[in-house]
Formats: sequence, structure tokens, C-alpha cells
Amino acid sequence: MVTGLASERRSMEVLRGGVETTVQDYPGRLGYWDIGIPPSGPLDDYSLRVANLLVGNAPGEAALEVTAGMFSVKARSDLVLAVTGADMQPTLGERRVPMWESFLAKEGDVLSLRIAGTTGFRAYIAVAGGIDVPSYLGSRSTFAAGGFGGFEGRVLKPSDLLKVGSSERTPSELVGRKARDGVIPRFAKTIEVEATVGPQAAPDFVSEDDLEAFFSEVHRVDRNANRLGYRLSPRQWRWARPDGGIAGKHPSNIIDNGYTVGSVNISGDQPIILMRDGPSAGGFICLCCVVTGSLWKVGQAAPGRDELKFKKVSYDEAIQLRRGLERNLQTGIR
Amino acid sequence: MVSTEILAPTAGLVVQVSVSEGAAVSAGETLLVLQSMKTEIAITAEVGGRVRKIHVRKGDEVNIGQTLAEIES
Repeated sequence: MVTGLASERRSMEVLRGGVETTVQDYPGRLGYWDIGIPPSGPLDDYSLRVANLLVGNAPGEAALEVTAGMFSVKARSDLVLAVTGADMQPTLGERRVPMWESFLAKEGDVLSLRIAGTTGFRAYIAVAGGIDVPSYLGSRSTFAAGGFGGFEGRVLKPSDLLKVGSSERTPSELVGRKARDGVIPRFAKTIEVEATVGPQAAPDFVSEDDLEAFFSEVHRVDRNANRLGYRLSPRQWRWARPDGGIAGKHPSNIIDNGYTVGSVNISGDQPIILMRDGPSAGGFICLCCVVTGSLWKVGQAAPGRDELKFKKVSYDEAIQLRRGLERNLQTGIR
Repeated sequence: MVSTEILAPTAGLVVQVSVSEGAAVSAGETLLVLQSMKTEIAITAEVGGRVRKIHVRKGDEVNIGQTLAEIES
């Protein structure tokens, strides 16, 4: 019971909930896609994993995803923290704290994040010991649209008290750990994301020329992009079929089939990248699929500000990308 | 007197302006509401004070980082 009391004392209190701040872990709630429950988890899983490694946690430990910023939290005990992802100019009290580096927050200190500004859209706050929320169906990730997981199944709001797990290491062992230069991503306004073609592409659903055009164009991120789907600007398609046959009037319609996270779903004329809180099945074609090793970059695209360019990759190249990311995580902290 | 600028955290559509210039507001009070990411986002006052200026109107589209209002405290 004594250890229980000790861990009760490790906590932080939300002062400002921000636009959309949630608890997320990685890889999220796997194994229930067949009954429509999405994995959830961090939209930029790379930055979340680096943040955890900086504070000595397992890479997939539960941490905070701060979307668009305006978030502040008060340490109710001494805690080791790290902030990665979009630079929202984090401060501890009056003092600026570095990104991609672990630091000590003393009891009573307030960590504040502003807004993303010119690049990136999501920041990640990891704490040594992890955010201690109940595991639901094998994950601590929040699925806010479904109202379960994370902290009470919802986005954070003022006065929420987040319990923090115990850490085996002392603060002095953990403070000042840095991400190596090569592992810190540079976010940009135009983001290149790698994707494999299909399952519903050319020549059966769109023309070969149109598929090439799609991969050469720059696609603006719609202001309604969110954790369910990243909506892009509608475009004029050169369809291979006049309609969807028995599946519907529009040539983007097909008989309902399964989707995968990262699918570029064409809903009418609008491409939508299905994200970690998205649907598991439906009746629109999926032209291509953003690969696992690249999906994190989409999570840093700001709605209404940034644009995406797709780069066609093979199955083997997709595996290499994922392995490269994992290598970075294994060697990225000093 | 310190003036605090309230910046748009995301691109969006102004669907409601909740306060008028000159009004007294407390920290955490909603100043205006943006529609973005398929939801409504309340933009609140970081600090309490007086609304010195509101830069947007209902129906305006705003960009990330755009100044929405100024609070004098």
C-alpha cells in the first residue's frame, strides 16, 4: 500500500486543456479492427516514441498528444519530462525549455505550450513513468469519438488530475538526455509521404495517366482534417468507369470492403487519408496507402496550412522505411 | 498595462464572437468559437482583463497564427 500511495503522489494537473489534448500510447488498441474499433494512438508515433525514450520509458508508453497547442499542466511532484514533435515554444514557468531533451519539472512548476506556428501541428509530452490511466482493451490510447480509453475517454480539460507511473530511475539519471541531430525531424509546409499503389487504382478505377498525375500533384490539407481522416482538396478525376455500378452512382463507389489505416480513400472527388481513429470498412475506393514508416509525417500536417505530395514506393521500400525509423529510435538518444 | 495577443491555434471559420470590445473577461472565458477539424473550438482568454480589440468577425476564415483578439491586463 505504501508504494500505491507513493505513485498517487506522482501526478500533474491540467490548467489549460488546449484545442485537443489526449493520452495516447503506441501501437495502440490492436486486435479489434474486425469489429470496427480503431487502433487510435499518436498521429505522429515517431515523435511520441522519441519523447518516451528521452525520459527512460519504453517507447510506446502512454504520453500526451497536444494538437494545435494552448495547453498547460502543473507538476504536483518532481517529474522528468520531455517535449517532442511540433515546436510550440514550451516554457517551464518563465523559462524556455528545450525540445527533444529531457528536463526536470519541480513540484509546482507549470509547463505551457503555445501554438504550432509555421511548421508541425502536434507536440508530445512524455513523463518518466508514463501517464497512469487504465488500460482498456489492451491500450491506454484515447478514442474520443467513441468515448473510451485514455483519460475518461475524452480530450483533457482544466482541473483533470493525471496520475504518473513510477520510474525505476532517479531524475539525475534521466535529466539532460538529448535526441541526436539526425533523429530530429524537420517539419515543412510541403510534406512528402511515401505510399504503395492500390488496392483500387489503375486501370480498373482511374486511368493510368490520372494515377501518375495524382502522384505528381501537391495536395492541400483541408481545414477539416482530424484524427479520423486527413481530408485533402477535391480534384477532377479521370475515372475508368462511368459510375460505381451496383455500388452507387459515383465512380468512387464500390461494394463495401475493409480499409486499412493509412489508406487514401477517395470519397466522391475528395481524397481522405484514413488515420488512427478512422473507419475500418466502407464503400469508396482506396487509391493508395501511406506506409507505416511514413504515416507519422501526415500527423504533423496542419489543416488549412500545409500540403502533401505522395511518393510511390514498392512493398520492399515500405519495409525499409519502417526499419530505418526503428533503427533511428534504437540509436537516437544520447 | 500589458496587452496579450490571442492567436488562432489552427486554420478555421469564425462561427461565433462571444465578447465585445471593451468587455471585462476572466481567464478561461470564451472569446470566440472557431470551426475546424470537424468540430467547434472555443478560443479562451489566457489572462483576465479587458478586451482591447477583436480583429475578426463571424464568417471570417482565419489562418493558423493569425491574431484574433487582444486582451489588456
